[in-house]
Amino acid sequence: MPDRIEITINRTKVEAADREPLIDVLRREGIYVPTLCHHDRLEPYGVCRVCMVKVSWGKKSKYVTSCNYPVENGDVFDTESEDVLKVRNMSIEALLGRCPNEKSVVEFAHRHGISKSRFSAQKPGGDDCILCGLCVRVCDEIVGARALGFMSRGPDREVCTPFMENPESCIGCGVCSTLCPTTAMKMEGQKTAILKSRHGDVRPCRYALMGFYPGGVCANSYECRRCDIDQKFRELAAMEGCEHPIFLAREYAGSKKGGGTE
Amino acid sequence: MKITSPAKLRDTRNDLSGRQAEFSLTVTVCGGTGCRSSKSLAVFNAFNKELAKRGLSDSVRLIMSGCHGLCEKGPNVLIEPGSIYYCRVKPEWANEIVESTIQKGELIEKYMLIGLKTKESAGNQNGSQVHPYQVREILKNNGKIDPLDIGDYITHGGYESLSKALFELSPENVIEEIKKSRLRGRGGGGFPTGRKWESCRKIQADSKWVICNADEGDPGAFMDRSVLEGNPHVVIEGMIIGAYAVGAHGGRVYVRNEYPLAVHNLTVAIEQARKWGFIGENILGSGFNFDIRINRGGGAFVCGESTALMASLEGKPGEPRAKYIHTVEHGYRDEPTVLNNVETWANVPGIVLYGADKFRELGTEGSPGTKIFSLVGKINNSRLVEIPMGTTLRRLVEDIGGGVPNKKKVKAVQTGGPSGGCLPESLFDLQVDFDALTEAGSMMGSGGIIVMDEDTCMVDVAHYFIKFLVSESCGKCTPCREGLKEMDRILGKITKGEGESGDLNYLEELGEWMKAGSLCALGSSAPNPVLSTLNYFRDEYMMHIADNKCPAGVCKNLIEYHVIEKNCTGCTLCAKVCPTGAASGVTKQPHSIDTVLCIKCDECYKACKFEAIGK
Repeated sequence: MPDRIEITINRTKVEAADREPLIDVLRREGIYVPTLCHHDRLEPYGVCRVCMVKVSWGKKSKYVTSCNYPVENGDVFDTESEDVLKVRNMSIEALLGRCPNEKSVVEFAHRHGISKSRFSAQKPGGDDCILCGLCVRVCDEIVGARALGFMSRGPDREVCTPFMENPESCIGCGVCSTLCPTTAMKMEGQKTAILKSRHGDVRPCRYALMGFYPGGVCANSYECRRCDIDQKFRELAAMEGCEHPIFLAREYAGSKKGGGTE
Repeated sequence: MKITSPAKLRDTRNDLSGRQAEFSLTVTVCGGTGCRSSKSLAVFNAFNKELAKRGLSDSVRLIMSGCHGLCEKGPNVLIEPGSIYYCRVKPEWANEIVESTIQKGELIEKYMLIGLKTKESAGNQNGSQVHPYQVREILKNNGKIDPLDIGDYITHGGYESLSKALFELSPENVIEEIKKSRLRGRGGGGFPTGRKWESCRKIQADSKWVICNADEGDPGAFMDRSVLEGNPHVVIEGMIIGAYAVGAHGGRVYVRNEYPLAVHNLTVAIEQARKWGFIGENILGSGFNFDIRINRGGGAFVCGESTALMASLEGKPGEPRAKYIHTVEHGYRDEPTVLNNVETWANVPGIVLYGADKFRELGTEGSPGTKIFSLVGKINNSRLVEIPMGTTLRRLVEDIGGGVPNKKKVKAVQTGGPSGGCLPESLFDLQVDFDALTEAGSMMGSGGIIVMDEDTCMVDVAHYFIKFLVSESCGKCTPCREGLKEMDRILGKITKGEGESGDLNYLEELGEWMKAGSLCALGSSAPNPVLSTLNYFRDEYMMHIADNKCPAGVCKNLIEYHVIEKNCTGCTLCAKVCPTGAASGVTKQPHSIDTVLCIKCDECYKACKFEAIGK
């Protein structure tokens, strides 16, 4: 098999597909590296830097992010030595310094043995957002609405909607807040109000906007959690191993065009 | 008129040369950005008028060229033959110069290049003395040709190399020659150009691209700008040869919008090259097609990074991506792309025409050829220089740059732009090439060299560059975004006298992390200014923290102005310049400074002629 290659992870030889993302090999082999900005259904982004490992070829070595590094024959990886942990933990410490009061970031850091950060926060009281970009990317790659993006650069970078206004293209699916690893992305409540005001009496169902029912209308004032349809789709998504029905919607749209009606 | 064969190119060249030979003299006024800002256009117009008045327009050729390299002495006027060089020329001098030098052949010594503080340049002046120790290979036509006239480039041997590549060499031969030359990318990384081209050549694809990176964003660097302004065709020719070698049919030049003259000259050059048949379809009748378009950058430093540049070209935000999959495979529009810097492209025609062996005669084994540097900062001759690789820093600073002004001592040089490192005077015997600079903790970068004298505080310098990088970091990855911000905070603390004992180790830890963990080269080289100054000037950091003193007298919170009584003559100058009345005293009596009123503006220190102000 020409596309099967051999790599070494922590002194153990492992077989892999040529140019397979390292994270997939590590997961298959049960080797833990933390990730924050990675999602299996999205293109790798490689920005949180907490999944770094060391790769070496003879005397040469460098640090790479496992989420997007394509493995090649003969690569030797180190995922657990002190050097590697130092680089990785510094990134976690930096994010903790950025979000000292964000519960999930604090918990994540604790799990990796970091309880205090020397970094100072950019915003007074700390930020909620770690800039992993999951919300921005899912809205672009899966939803296709591109209702989120980044603005400013350097330490001032933040997630925003186009021109800081309520985005016309948002369909209110809420996958951004589902994927957000922190509590930074809160939108649903506000968004339903916007949908209500935008669509008036017509009230297209959220699932219609996602592409499941062409022309479906909401019967109960956008209170999705009280709606059977919502329950059903959430269960369906869970059965398929997705966090959010939108992932199913895209698979539906891909396999049988317009055939998602129940 | 289109040139459709190599023979026609030769005929055209002979024809044009014949026409130029009818002129007995050529007067070249420098039209680089530096000289233009000291009104060289007015000088050009004055000469034009004067020559017309005397009926010399048909026998004397007057052109406006690109940068001559002696920016500080501008506007410069060069008269050939004889290489007579007049500096800081004023429009009023045109009358006298035309009468004495052009009509009677006499030199006017008072206008000649003086004050270029090198032994060799004293007295007479020909090419080698205007540019001592330099070897001008890429810049050789800068200052000789009119960048807006393709004919001028052709008479100086232009597009001969392209003709040779297209008709005598296969694409593989071209790549072989570039590989043999060991040309390394001049943008800073120093990656072997031939290897890059070869990888791109090997990939099967319908569409490939060549890109010229002219997004020169380093403060104090103007190498690429000068090449594009003075000789845009050499870059275009290099790109066409590169495209032929890798099999690309589309080219892009990504140039800073802040370089209006470079954009203009390049636009004109591309139009002319298209008209004459050097770009477009069926180039020189060879059957090879290639075209170039200019894209203007929006002013982001990070767009000098290849993947960010390509994202910006595609109309996306200028943010880099991981380069584990190389851009020669998946680059611009996800298609195979060769991206090289302006100077790298400019090296290509020479290598192809004269051969790799000739190229390797200059420079060092690992880094052959020449390199253009912009020499700026506390130096007598701020200028553009081109030297063979392997020239020592001492030769560059002392012999070519003429040393530091005002009898100050040189303290360090900063190479490689904002993310380069500071090298102390003790390392000035270092031979400048890619590997030596990296080993010393700095980098080649694109070639900016900033000289610093003893009045420079190295902590302040490091802080300056980090502040620049904080505002230019794209903020995409954690180490660059959070690390730079943190470095900025710690350095700010130290320069304010609030530094703590653990700060230096923390800075080093941050630096190592950013080096190892950043997404792109901006982030991984960003800690260089801090790490290199910590390495070579640690004592100075320690004095800031332990003794609350800034030995260079720069950090305002750590200095106090006082009068050194034994030097003070009571001339009252300090009292006159002091805006708050803090400096005062009786005439011919030692003065004093009231530290409560003093706002530390440094005016008295600068004004005092007797070194009687201490800080």
